[in-house]
Amino acid sequence: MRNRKAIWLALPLAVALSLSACSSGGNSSSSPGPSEGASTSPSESASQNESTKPAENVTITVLNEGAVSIGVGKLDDLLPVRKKALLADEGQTPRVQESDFSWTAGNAVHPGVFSYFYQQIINDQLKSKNITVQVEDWGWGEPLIQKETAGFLAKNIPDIIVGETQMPGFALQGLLEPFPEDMASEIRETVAPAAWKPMEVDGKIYGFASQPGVNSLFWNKKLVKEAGIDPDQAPKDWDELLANIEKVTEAGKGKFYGGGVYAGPNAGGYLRYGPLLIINGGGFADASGQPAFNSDANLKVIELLRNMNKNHPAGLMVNQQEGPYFDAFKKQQTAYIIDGPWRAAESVSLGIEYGMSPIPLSEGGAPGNITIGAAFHSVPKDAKNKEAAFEYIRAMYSDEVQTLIADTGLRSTVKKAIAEAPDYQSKHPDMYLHYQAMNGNVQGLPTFSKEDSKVWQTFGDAVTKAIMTNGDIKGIMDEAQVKAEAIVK
Amino acid sequence: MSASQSASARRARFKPAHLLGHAVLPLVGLVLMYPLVFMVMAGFFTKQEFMATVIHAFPIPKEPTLRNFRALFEGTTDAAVAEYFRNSLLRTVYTTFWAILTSFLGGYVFARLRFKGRDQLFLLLLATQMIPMTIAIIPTYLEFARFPFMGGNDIFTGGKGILDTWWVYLIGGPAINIMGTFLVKQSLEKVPIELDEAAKVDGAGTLRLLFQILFPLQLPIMAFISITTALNVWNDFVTPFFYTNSDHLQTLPSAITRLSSVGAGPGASANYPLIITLSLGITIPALLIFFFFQKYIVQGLANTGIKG
Repeated sequence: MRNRKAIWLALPLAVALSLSACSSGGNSSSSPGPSEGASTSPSESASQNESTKPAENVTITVLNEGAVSIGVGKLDDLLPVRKKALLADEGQTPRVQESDFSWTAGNAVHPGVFSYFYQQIINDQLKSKNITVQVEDWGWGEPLIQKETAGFLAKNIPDIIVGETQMPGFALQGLLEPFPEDMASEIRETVAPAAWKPMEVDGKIYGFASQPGVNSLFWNKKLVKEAGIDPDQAPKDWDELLANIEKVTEAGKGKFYGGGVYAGPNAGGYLRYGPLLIINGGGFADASGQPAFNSDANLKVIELLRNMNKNHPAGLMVNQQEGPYFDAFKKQQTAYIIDGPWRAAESVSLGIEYGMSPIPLSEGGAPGNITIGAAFHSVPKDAKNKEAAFEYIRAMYSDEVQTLIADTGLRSTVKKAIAEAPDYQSKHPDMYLHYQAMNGNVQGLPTFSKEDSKVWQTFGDAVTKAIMTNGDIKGIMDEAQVKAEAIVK
Repeated sequence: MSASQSASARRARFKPAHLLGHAVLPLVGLVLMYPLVFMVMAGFFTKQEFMATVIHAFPIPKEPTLRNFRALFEGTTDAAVAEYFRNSLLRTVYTTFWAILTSFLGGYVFARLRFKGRDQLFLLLLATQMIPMTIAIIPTYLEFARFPFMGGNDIFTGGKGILDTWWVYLIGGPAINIMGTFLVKQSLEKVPIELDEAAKVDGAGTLRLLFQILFPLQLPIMAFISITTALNVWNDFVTPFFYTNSDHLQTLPSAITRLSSVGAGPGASANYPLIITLSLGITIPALLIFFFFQKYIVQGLANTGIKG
């Protein structure tokens, strides 16, 4: 049959099919637990070689995060390009001048030049140890988590990875290298817990954030004043906070609202209203890490959230997307907000006169907080240059980098010696408040033992339902608790 | 036809429902055009003003700037736009070429050739369409990372395979277009087999039969496959975003995703006017393709017998 000659046509088809199919294509193996890592721990050698210069140049790959990003590529190449771009950038207010590129410790830093200096200091420190830094950008949020998960499976992962809520989970799965013992001791001794405590598993540290935040209460002084409230006075407790919020909503007559806190069913929401749970003696999980959603302390917080919700444009407080919630504060449509330290600098840049204080306490409550905006940097078990990667993290908590953070004033330094100096307290009183909060009862979001994201979804959905309806809060949270317990069983 | 006759014919054709339709259609058009108008106007904002402005219906800047539109042509420090445009274009042309070829050959195989397991193989192909794209991201990542003898791999491991290289587009691009294969199969089944036999009697070989006799008959469906593939590839951000890292390999959609996601990092804020303007840059070529070639879409579908 002549047509049989054309059977060869099926060949490209077969090739294409194999490409379109989703085969694993390799011998991926499951990740070892923390104690069964196949790779050699750099802990000992890293501590021995701390100050020695490697004979050969090593290039490490580091993932970017927005707050300190200067682009993608080798730092050596990026720095001059970034400097040129900053000088030409008309969008910088005030415009960046050549003189802004000479900074001496203890003096103010132009906020636009912060990331330039940050990377320059790290680059200089690592170059002196014969280490070259190559920066990559894998995005943030869900796309980053997916790409990092794929990278772990393929054992094709940068030497330093970055992330927020997913990082403790990676540590628990044994995908990250514990910090060398000397480094861990140094961090524990000299650095505020918010920078490393959420990344501590079984007494070992797996990640570090150079400028994490904790939540504070911010308010728009103009809107608060219009409601007849003293704009320089922080609310003393939850009752006063809620009363103020209601007054602002009433004064706003639909043009602006009292606001409160973002409570969407996602990490953005949990990170922001989580501190209220901790302050009131509640939380997301009990001491053994099991879901604890329906405690009396939590119910009281959810009741507060329900009342706050009445002081927002409909649906805003539990919107799936967190962006519109913060936009409302930026556009002066809401007066109060619980958020990270960057809210201060952003308000200044938008011309909003703001007030700021620690989150008020509930009756009988105690100070507590959740780290927010913490870009934890970790060294994966499969990293190719672990020793050099730990040098990068050492540079992140070096005095030079931490002094830069302190002088810029957008975030608080985490280095105890710098923050506790009288000069810092007088120059940056707002940031010193943040620093104090970072030293207290600061937690991260827990990772549940099974189907973590499903358990969180159960909690988030229940809180949304409790906020949005007039249903019995206890009944809703009891139901969520039963569901969560069944999931982790 | 006299003047009175044509006037009465016009009256007969006129129905009040038509008037309603003509009154409603511009409103519907306005609603559909709104996002595009919004995007154009938002492009005149600075990042700071956009953040501070409460937008009620249309964003109207107090201090309009052309900076974002200039960036669309000249790029910025963080966005080499010309390079992204070039990459998007090359990738779209290349992948569309392969989509046409594999769809046509695949359709021919399933419509004309008889071999054992043909129907089962076709079903298998169709079944791959049921797998959501997000589920395939990690296996595809592994497939690229384990590509033998590439990127430092010994056989399957040791390096990064073809990740972060042009091979992601060159090898990943020609993956068979299942929908295209299905459509060509449907269309070819309507062409009498006698045509093939007559061509063979006249001495035509398989290649001549395929490309000089059957292919010209499939031009409308090929136009349809080209347009839909080109639009899909032009707008695809998943492939470049997940399987490449280097800036010189990014396309416009993935570059925009990067700009947005960096803005979503802790405490960072995205430059929305720039992102919106770059998105406009992606939308316009796609709109033009659709505007000029939309008749082929209808014609192509009609040829397959899918359209009633």
